[in-house]
Amino acid sequence: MSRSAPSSRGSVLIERARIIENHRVAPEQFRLLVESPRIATRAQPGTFVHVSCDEDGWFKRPMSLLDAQGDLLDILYKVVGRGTQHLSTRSAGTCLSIMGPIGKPFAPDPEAPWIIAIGGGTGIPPLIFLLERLFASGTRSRLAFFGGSELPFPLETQHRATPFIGIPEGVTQSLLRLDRLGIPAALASRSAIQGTYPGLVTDLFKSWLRLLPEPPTPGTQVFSCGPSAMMAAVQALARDMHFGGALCLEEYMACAIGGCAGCTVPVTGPDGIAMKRVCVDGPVFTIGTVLFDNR
Amino acid sequence: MSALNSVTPTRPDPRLGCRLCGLELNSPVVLLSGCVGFGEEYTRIEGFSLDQVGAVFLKGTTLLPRLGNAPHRLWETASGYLNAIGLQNPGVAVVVEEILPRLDFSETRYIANVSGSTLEEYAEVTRRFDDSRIDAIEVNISCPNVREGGVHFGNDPDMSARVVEACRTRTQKPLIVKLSPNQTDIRANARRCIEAGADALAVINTVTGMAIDRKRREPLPSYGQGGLSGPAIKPIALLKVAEVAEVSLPRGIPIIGQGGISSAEDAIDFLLAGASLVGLGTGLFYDPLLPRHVNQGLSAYLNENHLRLAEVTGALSRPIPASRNPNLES
Repeated sequence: MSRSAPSSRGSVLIERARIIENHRVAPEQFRLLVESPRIATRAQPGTFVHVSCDEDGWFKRPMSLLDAQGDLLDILYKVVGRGTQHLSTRSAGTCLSIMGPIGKPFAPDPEAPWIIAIGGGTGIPPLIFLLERLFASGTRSRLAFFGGSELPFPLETQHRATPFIGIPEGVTQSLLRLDRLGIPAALASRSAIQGTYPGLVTDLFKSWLRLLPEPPTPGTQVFSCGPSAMMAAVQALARDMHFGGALCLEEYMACAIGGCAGCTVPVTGPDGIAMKRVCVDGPVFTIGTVLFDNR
Repeated sequence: MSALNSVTPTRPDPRLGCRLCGLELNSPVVLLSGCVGFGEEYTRIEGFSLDQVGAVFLKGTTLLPRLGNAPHRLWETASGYLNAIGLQNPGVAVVVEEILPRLDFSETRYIANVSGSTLEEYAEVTRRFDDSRIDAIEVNISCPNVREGGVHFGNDPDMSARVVEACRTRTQKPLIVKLSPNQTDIRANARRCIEAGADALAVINTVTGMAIDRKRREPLPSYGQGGLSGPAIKPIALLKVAEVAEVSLPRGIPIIGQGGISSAEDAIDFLLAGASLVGLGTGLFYDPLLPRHVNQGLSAYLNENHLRLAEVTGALSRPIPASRNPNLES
């Protein structure tokens, strides 16, 4: 909780953002597209925004970004409580107060032989943002995506056209927006969604590692976002395989700017265990540092 | 483009300048301990400037580092939230030696918040801050989220007085005592703290409360209880300020009124109830540019009513009901 570097002064903006779209894409899941030109210009994969869902006496809600292009912020959110319920009723043309971008972005190693993204549920969007930015940058790393959800996927799926060696037979579904870029993607669900792996996304990932003729070499990076149990499993697999990478965490937030220390999580550092704020010390943390046993 | 999209920081109206225990402040609006880290956090926000506030009360500090409580530390409730941070801080040595030297004392005043589990700890942390650049020291005898010290001292007037005496002997800097609302009669405690050497009183800290995770049948936050803050506690805080004002204002001891302030109108209410300064905490979470908005509203109020700031303090047109406690003559 030390002083932020002077260069961070004024780095977070507050914008009155006009809603372009706010519609249901799957049960309990909504797509929010807002015009927020100054925040959109600065947003990077992994950073998040703090959104006023209800102007009347409720806190803003932290939300990850699916994309930031031109003047627009693209957000996928799940209705989980009063704030997001209220947000889901907001119409196009009305305005929201949005604060952002907040937090540290993903920082993939340009030399990594593979960059593998593993997302669960509402943790999927920032990983799509990461992969699409990496693709657009012309990365030399091989990219792959594994996604898990118990609800219908909020992003359009299709029968995979991009070859994905090592994926079990019958696991045929990919995400449209990754498949059309040629980024191999495979999906898992325990909700009997056709063409998905019938189990945990981490089991799909393990299966892929076993079946792949040439497993990713050390130096490979894994980026993950989603439920804690999933990320703990990803962390353990990465440790066993000597992969690097990072986890993008969620926690209840109040200020989202580093003031209240309400969103801290235990991490290991050079001086032992420390409580780090998800909002400004994260939300992206080095994969091996997050302690899940203490949470 | 709305005003929010074109924020220009401005120093407060000079008529908002005021004094706290001899310290000159830019504004009666101060930022509260526990909501603004160690001072710089909100400057990340474009348009937020520390010279808009009279003082920043730094995060509660103990003798040794504390990790604080395990997640989840907070839970939002109707018009407020429960927090149980557990006094996470790096310890007084790091605060004095590493954090204070990086703060710009020309922008605002910085006030330490001292916590402890024993009298000796309170006294020693106070001594360390006395030997630093800090402008004043706030003694926190009202933190509800630690197992020892904190509110356990603050709810007992004898113990409160002993903590204040212990700190008073270690510093000549202005000493502010943060009072708990979680006690039978805040007036008795205020009077004892003043007699023990308090130069100012901060009224109030959070109100203890809990929520429940019905599915798991667990109390929330994870600590098992928390401190409630936000607009929900404003009526409680206002009455406590008015009660404390009965014993503090006749003795020339100013009150920093706090508890649910989220607008200039709220701030004016606290001044009328008896506060000389107003503290913003949870209100920042709704509106991060609240200090500027409160300053603007206060200026407009003074203009419209042809008042000076000091004239607003305690200017209720009739008093609150008198205390029935015979031991509480002011």
